[in-house]
Amino acid sequence: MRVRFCYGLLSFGLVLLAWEMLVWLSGWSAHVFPGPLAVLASLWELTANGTLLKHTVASLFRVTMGFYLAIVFGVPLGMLLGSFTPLRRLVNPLVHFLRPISPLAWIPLAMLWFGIGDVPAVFLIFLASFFPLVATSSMAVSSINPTYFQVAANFHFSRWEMFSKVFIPASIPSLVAGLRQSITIAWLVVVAAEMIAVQSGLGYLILDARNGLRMDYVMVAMVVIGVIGLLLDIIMRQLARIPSASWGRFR
Amino acid sequence: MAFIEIEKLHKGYCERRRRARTDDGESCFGQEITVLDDINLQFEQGELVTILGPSGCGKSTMLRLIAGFDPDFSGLVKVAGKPVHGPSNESIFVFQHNGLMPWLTVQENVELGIRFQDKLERAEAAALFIGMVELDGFEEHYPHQLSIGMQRRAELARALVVSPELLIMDEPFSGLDFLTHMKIREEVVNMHQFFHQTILLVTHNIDDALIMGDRVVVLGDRPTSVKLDRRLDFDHPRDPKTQAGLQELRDEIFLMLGVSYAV
Repeated sequence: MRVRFCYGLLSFGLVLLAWEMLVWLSGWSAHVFPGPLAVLASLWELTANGTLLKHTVASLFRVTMGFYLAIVFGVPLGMLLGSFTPLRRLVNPLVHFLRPISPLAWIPLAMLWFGIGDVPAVFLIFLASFFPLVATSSMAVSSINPTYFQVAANFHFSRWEMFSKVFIPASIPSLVAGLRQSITIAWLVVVAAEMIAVQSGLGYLILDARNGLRMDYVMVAMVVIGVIGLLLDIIMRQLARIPSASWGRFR
Repeated sequence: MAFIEIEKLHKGYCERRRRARTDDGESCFGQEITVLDDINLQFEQGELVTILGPSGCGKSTMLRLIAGFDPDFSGLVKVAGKPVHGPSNESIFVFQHNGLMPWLTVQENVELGIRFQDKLERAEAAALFIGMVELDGFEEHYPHQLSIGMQRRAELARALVVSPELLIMDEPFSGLDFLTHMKIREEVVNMHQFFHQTILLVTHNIDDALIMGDRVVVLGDRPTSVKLDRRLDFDHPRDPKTQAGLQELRDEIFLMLGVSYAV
């Protein structure tokens, strides 16, 4: 772990160095291509005056809302589809038809239906993570090894025990893997969602900074988005490490 | 009356898309693929029966029917005088692969069948059988942290803890290394001599069948029929390669399964 962390740090260090050199060699003005030091200074500036925190919290709030809604509706629906073949045959084509449509394509409709404010942004994030969650949860359930149910029947498990002691624990590793995939997508979409119809969030910060020709602010927002994406992934990876989820890696 | 009675057992699969519901259940319009046809067998209580047959001949299918995992057959299967309607903890199936619940520790797996007993009793029984299969110290391990042999042992402990009258084992030695195979084989024989449950054990290995069984049954190709059914009244340990009586039987079975030069 320590070693891996050092490698990670090293790669970031090298990229920063290359970035600074590139800025130097290109001779472009800091307004067009700010170097890491300039970005760092702006990062400090935006942190100190609270702007960055405000926008970050706004983005995280929307992602959390959209993602939770997607979990609440998507996971049960996916598990239902995974359990009942006729239902899956009925609904799956629809899911696979809607899934490849970029959430950004929904922007006009989202604005028309939900006006401006948080709702359309949350709706877009919901859409972005809903379909992947349905697909992965459905897979998680339909790929449960039937042997487990036979073992359970052999020991006289009741219907409730079949559900709570076999069905749920058997699908957890794949469910967690599905969450990890979809939260990345949700985070990806928040920036785009915030470029419409809202006055806060990291996406708005980027848009606003572009209008003010502050490329250093744009880059600050990009850096923060990257860092938070990384943190989300690390959190999901830790979640996959808890014993009730980690057995899936060794099947 | 025999402990297990199988009469006129017939089992077939229907080709897909040719199934239709009619007034008297499901019927098959297309060609039915017969797996088991007119099987008649009786097993006595306490018998260790080894079942041999070419792969895909329906051995496992028959075991699953006896275990009650598949109610879709015609004919009669009775265990302990009662027709089999579904799985029961009187007859425990020991699976070939992944029989343990991977999200439960060894201890929790072993306690599955006795989960309604109180905590102390449960722990005591689990400890007894975990000790018997030599897994002490591995109670808190998860299945993926164990070798295949240890997994097989844990599953055996889980089966024994409910003191089933019947153990159904589907190729219990597959995937084991040579030594573990020998060792677990010996343990199953010892266990049987101690508990005297009825054991049905399917295997591909003719020597295993002859070394372990009180009786050996050889099934023929699909649709399965009983080709040979012989009692093995020999003391343990046995050597089927040299022992008089066993050696001839061994050659006979090899020939029956299409191998003319047995090693």
